[in-house]
Amino acid sequence: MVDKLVESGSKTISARGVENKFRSYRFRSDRIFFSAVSDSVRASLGFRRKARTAKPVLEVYTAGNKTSLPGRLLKRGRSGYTDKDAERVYQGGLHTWNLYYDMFGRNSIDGNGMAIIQSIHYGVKYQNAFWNGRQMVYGDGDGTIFGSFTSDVDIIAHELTHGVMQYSSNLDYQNQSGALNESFSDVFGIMVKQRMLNQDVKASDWLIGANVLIGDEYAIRSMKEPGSAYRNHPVLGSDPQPATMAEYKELPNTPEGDWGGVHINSGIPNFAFYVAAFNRGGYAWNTIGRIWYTAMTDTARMPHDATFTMAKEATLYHARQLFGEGSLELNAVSQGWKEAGVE
Amino acid sequence: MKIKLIQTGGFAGLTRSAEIEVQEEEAEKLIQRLAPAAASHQPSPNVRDAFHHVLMVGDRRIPFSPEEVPEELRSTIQHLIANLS
Repeated sequence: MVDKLVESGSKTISARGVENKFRSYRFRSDRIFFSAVSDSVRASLGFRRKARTAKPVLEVYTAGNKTSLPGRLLKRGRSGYTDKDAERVYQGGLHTWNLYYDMFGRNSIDGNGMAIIQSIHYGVKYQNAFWNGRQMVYGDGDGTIFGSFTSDVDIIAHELTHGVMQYSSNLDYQNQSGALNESFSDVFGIMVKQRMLNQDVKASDWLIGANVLIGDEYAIRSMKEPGSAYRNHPVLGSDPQPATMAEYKELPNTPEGDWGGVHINSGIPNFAFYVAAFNRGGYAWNTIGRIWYTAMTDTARMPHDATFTMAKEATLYHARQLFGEGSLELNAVSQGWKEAGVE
Repeated sequence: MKIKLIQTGGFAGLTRSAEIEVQEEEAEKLIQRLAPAAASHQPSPNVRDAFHHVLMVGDRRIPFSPEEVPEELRSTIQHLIANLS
């Protein structure tokens, strides 16, 4: 039916007409909908044209507990990689590519099929994961405070999203634009986790790094309740993230200040996304996630030095464009930023 | 004399530090070997979630990268990193 509707006027159908259909069919599989939308209509909605034969290119290397990158290429057998960490990053990279491609029409990090390169076993007991401008890198953790940084699919998707941003909005890694950069990575991180687990907004725990930080009661960040991911941890203390602008942490724009608290103040846009997605209901990637994707890749409304207010305006704009005035989605986005105290 | 290593940033955005007592000669060696590179030490522009390390030797603040520490100083730095809290 979707095919018929779109095909019936494939050459003359207006973007507005598609937007109406977009709303009508938002409860159905987006994959089916997306596959029915023509390239010209996709372009008018700000999505890439269909790359019908696109397949992800994934490469996993081991740094062998040294720090040269990428290290040695690992081979994947019929039943997967023999190395557990290798299999995890492979599957995590695949789930992330699938979300970007299936839901947003984006083929990989650069939108043009770039190979997804990941290196595991970086350094000795290295307690971090990072994006180095070309690839993702994962440490094994010390085994006491942190487990392997391959333990959470949301971390894998978080790092890959830093790459996506490098090829789109490229938000400056300082102050509010830096906190937005961190937040977008968490937003797409949690959506990859939710989609992999087939969780709607109510079923999700909204936790980032729930496995890597050792201890059942600990995670790295909570999008649902920033500041609650860990409390009275024997080494790390308590989660310092704010949820609202009233608690915004003014920190120096230095390495010691984490560039104005990019990993701290990200709690505010994270909370805005959570409230918007939760109020809308259903699967986050079908609705509010789409709005966040179009905003993140809209370099006119989301310039490299964007503020929280600009992010709010960009998401409201795209909520209107994608779902229309008076839509559930627009109201949910508006409520999200309101509850986060962003004016 | 006391030297202190401060680690910030990373995926978790944590600030952690460790302190040890070293001989004056060792502290001098750390300054001599790490300070020249510190003047031009810049974070790579497209790196995200990276750690940042600063060594405090007395009043001297020396940003450095553990991966680039000379072999002879590596065990001191590794000891500090292993004891971050």
